[in-house]
Order: sequence, then C-alpha cells, then structure tokens
Amino acid sequence: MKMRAHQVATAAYACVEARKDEPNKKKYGAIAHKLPGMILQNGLAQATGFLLAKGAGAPEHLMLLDDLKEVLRAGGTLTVTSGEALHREIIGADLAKTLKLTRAALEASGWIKRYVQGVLRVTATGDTSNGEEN
Amino acid sequence: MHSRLFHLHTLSALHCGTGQSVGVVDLPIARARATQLPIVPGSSLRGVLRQEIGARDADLERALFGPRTVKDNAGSFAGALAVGDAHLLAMPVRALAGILCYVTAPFILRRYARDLADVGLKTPEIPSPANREHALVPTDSVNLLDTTLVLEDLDLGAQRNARTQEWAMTIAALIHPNDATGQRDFIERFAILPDDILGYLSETATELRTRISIDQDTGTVKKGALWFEEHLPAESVLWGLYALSDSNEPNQKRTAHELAQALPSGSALLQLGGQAGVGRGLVRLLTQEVAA
Repeated sequence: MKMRAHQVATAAYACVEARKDEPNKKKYGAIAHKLPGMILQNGLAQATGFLLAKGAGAPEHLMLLDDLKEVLRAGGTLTVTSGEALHREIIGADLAKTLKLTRAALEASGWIKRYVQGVLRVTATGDTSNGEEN
Repeated sequence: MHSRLFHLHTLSALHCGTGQSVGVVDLPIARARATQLPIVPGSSLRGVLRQEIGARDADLERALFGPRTVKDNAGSFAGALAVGDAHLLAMPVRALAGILCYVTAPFILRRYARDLADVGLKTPEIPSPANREHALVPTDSVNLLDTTLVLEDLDLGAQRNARTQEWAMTIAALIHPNDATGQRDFIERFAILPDDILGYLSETATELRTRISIDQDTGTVKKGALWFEEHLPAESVLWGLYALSDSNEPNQKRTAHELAQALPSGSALLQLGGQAGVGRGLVRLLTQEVAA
C-alpha cells in the first residue's frame, strides 16, 4: 500500500515535469506559486473559476487547472476528466464535499508549487532560480 | 504547583510562526500537531514576558525565569514560572450580518471547560449544534439572517440558544473584565459551530498576507522575493495555563504566592511573535487577579 501523500506527490511530479519544455513554463510556474494562496483567500470555486476564465487568453492557467485535476484524480478525490469538469464538480458540491475538495486541492496545489520550485526551478515572481532561493 | 489561567486577545494580526514551510503557505503559523488548530507556543510567550518583567525588576525576572547566563552548576537554578501553550478559543470570521462572528466549537469548549475547572471556575453545559451544517448563536446574536448564519462562503442553519448565550457571557466576562461595550460586542457576535466546520475555518479563514521585497537599485520586486505569510486575525481569543512554584533561587526564597502578587495582573499589552516591524503581534495578555 502506498501513502496518499506519495500518490499525490507522484502525480504532481509527473505533471510538472511534463511542463519542462513548455515555452510558457515561467508563467505556469508563477501562477502555480500563487494557487494555494488563491484557494485560501478566495475559496476553491473562485480559484478554479479564475483559472478557467483566464485560460482563454493565457493558456498556462488552463494547464494548471488540468494538472490540479490530474493530481486530485491520483489522490482518489474525484474522477473527472477535464479542468472544466473539475470546476463544475466544485460549484455543484454540497458543504461536506466542499470541505473535502478544498483540503485535497490545497494539498495538491502545495505539491505542484513545490515541484515548480524543485523541477522547473521557477520562483514566485516567475524568474528562474539557481536553487538557492526558497 | 497551582495552575492559573490566562487569555490572549489579539489586537493586530499575530504571526507566531514555525519558520519556512514546504506546504501551502511559505510562512505558516504554529499549530497543534494532532488538531491543526492554531496555538501560540508557551516558549514565545515566556520569552516576551521575561523581556517585559526583566526591564522592570531584574530580581523578579531571575526568580521567575532562572539566571540569564549560567557559568557553573552552582549558579544554576530553575525558574519558578511555567507557561503553557495558548490554544485557540474563538476566531473572528467574516459574516454577512454583523460584519464578523467569533466562532468556536464543542471540541474546543470541552478542553476550555476542563482547564477552567482546574482553576476553580464553573462553566455552563456545552450545547451541540443539531447537525454538521448547523450552528448555535446567543439569543442576542446580530449575525443571523432569518435563520441562517453566513460565514465566509458557508451558509449554516442557525438557532438562538440560551446555553450559547451563557457561554458567550462567560468568555466575554473573562476577556473584557471591565468593559461592558466589549462584552456586549463579543456576546452579540459569538457562535458555536460543528467541530468539522470550525476545523475547516481554522485552516482556511486565517489571514494571508502577500509580502514582497523591493530591490533598492531598480525599484522593482527582488528576484523571487514574493511570499505568503499566515496570521491569526486581529480579535482572535486564545487561552492557556501557567503555573508558579516557590522560587528555587538559593538564598532568596520567595513563595509562589509572593511571586504571583509581583506578576502583572489584569491586562498587559505585549508584542508577540514575528513581523513586529510591520505592525503584527500586538496582544492583550489577561491574567486573573490574585487574591491578597
């Protein structure tokens, strides 16, 4: 049996590593840094709705929403197959499910953020790091 | 050793941190491991008290906290004061009616009642919300919209309840002992939530501040210098226990009662935790009056 945190981390690692050669990986990294704070400050529905809305003109937002969906699937939280379906699931959730989804999304986004720092070497301001910054 | 009660009332956002985190927030606040509820570690409070008392009375400081520097075993002795962690009692949360609501939960009140019993204070019976989406508010609550309590994005069914009113009055009397307006303000904005909801709000309704650092040469954000800090919001209420023993200082014995008399009583203004330079950590420390 594998620990849930390891399943989530494995999926987050794979998602972030797959963004290594994306031309907009710095923008992806900068928004990934902000996602956990965005969920805490605005709520999960607002945060995923924001990614969906911004995605039309800035595809890194949709990339991140898709990766969030993928990590949540790997953690066994839900089984949706697209970022948009994830958002629909969130806004349709009752109170108990909202609490569960929020905790899972915070965990997933925390792992994505960590691998953005460790694998993509992108900092919160969208700069590339040499590994010395936090 | 005799337990004594203290309360902390935050007047500004409070950051008692744990250093850099690998999690969601870059600089999170300290939390109890098992419950994830915010705490102020006893060590934080002890250090600030030492500074505060030491500035006025060096002898009292030695008796309470022990010598500042120990050159040899002969000159070493334990301080007479033990300070416990402060636990979250009530947290202010954004409310649609009444601006904010001080929320707590039966899980917290049970532990609080146990500690109050230890220091000889009686508490009302603890009421429980009817179900996991239901809250209890005092009879005088200003937070209700018909029968709904709207906190952050949560709509909870709510009921006015006499026991909840008693709890609000009990806590208000302890944290605003000589302030009728402060008591009324607290009583009108108090609520007992289901444990699960309180746990969720204690993780998601703390205050997050985004910080940056400016490069003095360019006037722009320094490379990578953008981070999130978590704070307990202003108006949070915490409680804890402290204990005094007779002093251990050789040749200068003082009883626990004498030391208690010498401690500041009532309400003291302190700066706790980090980020003092940007206005964080102003708290009121409330201790019970010691009978002469």
